[in-house]
Amino acid sequence: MNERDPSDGPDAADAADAADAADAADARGDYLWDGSGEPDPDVVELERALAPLRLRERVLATPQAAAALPPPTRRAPRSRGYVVAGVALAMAAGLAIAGGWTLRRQDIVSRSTPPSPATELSAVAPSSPTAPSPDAWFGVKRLAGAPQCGEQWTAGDCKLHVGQWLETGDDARAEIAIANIGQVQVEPGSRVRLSATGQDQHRLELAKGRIHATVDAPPRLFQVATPAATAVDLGCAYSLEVGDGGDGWLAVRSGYVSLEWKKRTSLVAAGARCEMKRDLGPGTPFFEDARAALKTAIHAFDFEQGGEAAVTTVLREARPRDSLTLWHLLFRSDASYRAKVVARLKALVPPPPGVTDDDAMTPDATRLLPWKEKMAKTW
Amino acid sequence: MYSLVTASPPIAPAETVELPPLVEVARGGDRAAFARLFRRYERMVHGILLVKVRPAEAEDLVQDVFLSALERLPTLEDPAAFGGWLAQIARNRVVDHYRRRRATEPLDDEHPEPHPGADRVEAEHILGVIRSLPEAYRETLILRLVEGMTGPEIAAQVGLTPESVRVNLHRGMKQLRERLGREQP
Repeated sequence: MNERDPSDGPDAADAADAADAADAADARGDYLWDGSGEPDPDVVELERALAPLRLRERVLATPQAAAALPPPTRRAPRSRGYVVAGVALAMAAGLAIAGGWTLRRQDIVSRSTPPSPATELSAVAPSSPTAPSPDAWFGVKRLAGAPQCGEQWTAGDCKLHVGQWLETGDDARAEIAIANIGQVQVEPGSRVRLSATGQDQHRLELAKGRIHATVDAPPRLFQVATPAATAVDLGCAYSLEVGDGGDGWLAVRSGYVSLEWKKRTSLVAAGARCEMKRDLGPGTPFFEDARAALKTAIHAFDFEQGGEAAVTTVLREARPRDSLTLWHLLFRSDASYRAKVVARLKALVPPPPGVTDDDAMTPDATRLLPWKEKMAKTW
Repeated sequence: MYSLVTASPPIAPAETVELPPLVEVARGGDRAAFARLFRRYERMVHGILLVKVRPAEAEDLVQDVFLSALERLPTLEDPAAFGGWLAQIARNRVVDHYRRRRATEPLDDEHPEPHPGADRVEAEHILGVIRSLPEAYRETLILRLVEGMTGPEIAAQVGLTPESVRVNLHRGMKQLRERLGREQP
C-alpha cells in the first residue's frame, strides 16, 4: 500500500487510496470497516481491551438526583455517570414530567462491537430492550391513593409484569417507568395493561382512563393500544384518553404521534389533537388553537358524515398551520370535491417546484412529500 | 421537523429521523430534539475528546461540548453539516481545556487516576499507542475501536467521505499493529 503523508489530513485521501484500502481489505478488513465478514481477531481483541474507555452507560437517575447534582463546574471531581445523566436530563427537560427517569444510551453497542461488559448492564432494569424476558416487568410508582398492580392493591411501588393490569380506581394515580425510555402517568379511573416489552417494542394497552406519556426513544418503539386506535410514539410527549365506550382522544405536547387503526393513520403534531372512535379509528388531527368552527366541522366530517359541507367549512376557517388538517383531508375527501382542498392548501402553503396538481389530486403521497415537508414547517 | 417518508397514504412515518429536520427542530428550541442529537452524537464527541484528553475528563467534557453546541446552534448555517460542526467544537474544546489547565493547574500526569485496574491500565496503554500514531489516524481509530462506531457511521457523523475514513482506518490499523508488535495476518 502506498504511504501518504498523513499530515495531508483525512480529506487528502483520494479514490486511489480508497481502492488501496479496499484491496488490502480481505474478509477481515470488512470487519474493520463495518463489522461485517469474519471478525478480525486483532480488531476484536483491541475492542475488548479498549472497552473500559468507552463512553459509559447512563446510570439510573431521577429528577431529584439530577437536581442534586453539583453545577457543571469544570474541575470539581464528579461521578462520571451522573454527569452524563445530568446533561441528558437537562436536555430532555422539555419532555420530563414529574417522576422517575430511566435513561440509558441505547446505541452504545454497535453491531461491530462485542457486548458490553455485564457491569455496564447492571443498571438496566429487567425490562430493558437489551434484556428481553418473558418475566419482564415495568416498575410502577404510586403517586396517590392505592393503585391495583396485578392482583394486589398497593400503598407503595410495585412491579407490573407482562400481561398484568394496573388499575387506579377513583382516586389513585401511578407512574409506570417504560424501560429506559420514559414514563407514563396514569390518572384515576384507568386500566392499563403491559402487553409486551422487548428489544423492538414496548406496548401498553389502555382500556379506559387517561395517561400522560413522555418518551425519548426511536420512533415506533413505544406504543399504546386502545379500543379505537394505537398510539405509536415518534419521540414525544402526549396525553391519551379512552372513555367507557372505547372512544377517546389524543393530544400531543411535543414531537409527533402516529395514531393508527387498520390502514388509517393520523399524524398528530405537537399542539394538535385527534379524536378516535371504536370501529372508525382515528379522526383528522387539528390544532387545539384552531378556530372553533373548524373543530366542529372536522368532527362532523369524521364522525357525522359531514361530507363536502363540513370540508367547505374547514377550508374557510383554515390558517397555514391548519395545513396539518388539510393534508389529511387531501387523502380522505371524496374525489368530487378534492380539488377544493388542493386549491386551499396551495393558497395556504404554496407547493415547492415539481409538485403538480395531478400529484395532489391522485393523491400521490410520495410525490407530495416535499410539499408536506414544507407544510410541516408551519406545524 | 421530522421526516415522514411514506409510500402508503396518507402518512407512514419513517423509522428514523433525518438529521437536517432534527437540527432545525432543535434550533427552534426543542430540547427533546436536542436530546436526540445528544444521544446520536455523544459517542463521536467522546471519541474525539479521547484523542487528547484523559479518559477521566473526557466524559465531563462531553457535557461541555453539547452545552456549547446548544448555545451556538442558531449560528449553524447548514443543518446537514451538524456532525462536522459538532466535531470541530469538540476539537476546539480540547484546545481550550489545555489552555485553561496550563493557566491554573498542574499537568495531567500529576493527577493519575487512583488505583486503576489491570483492564484500565491495558486500555490506557493501547490508547497511548494510538495517540502516538499520525494525527489523521487517531480520531478514526478511537471512534472505531473505542466507541464501536462503524466506518460508515464515522464518515456520516464526522463529515468525512467514506473513502477517507476507510483509508485512515486501514492505514491506522496497519501502523497500530506494527507498534503493538502484532503481525498483520
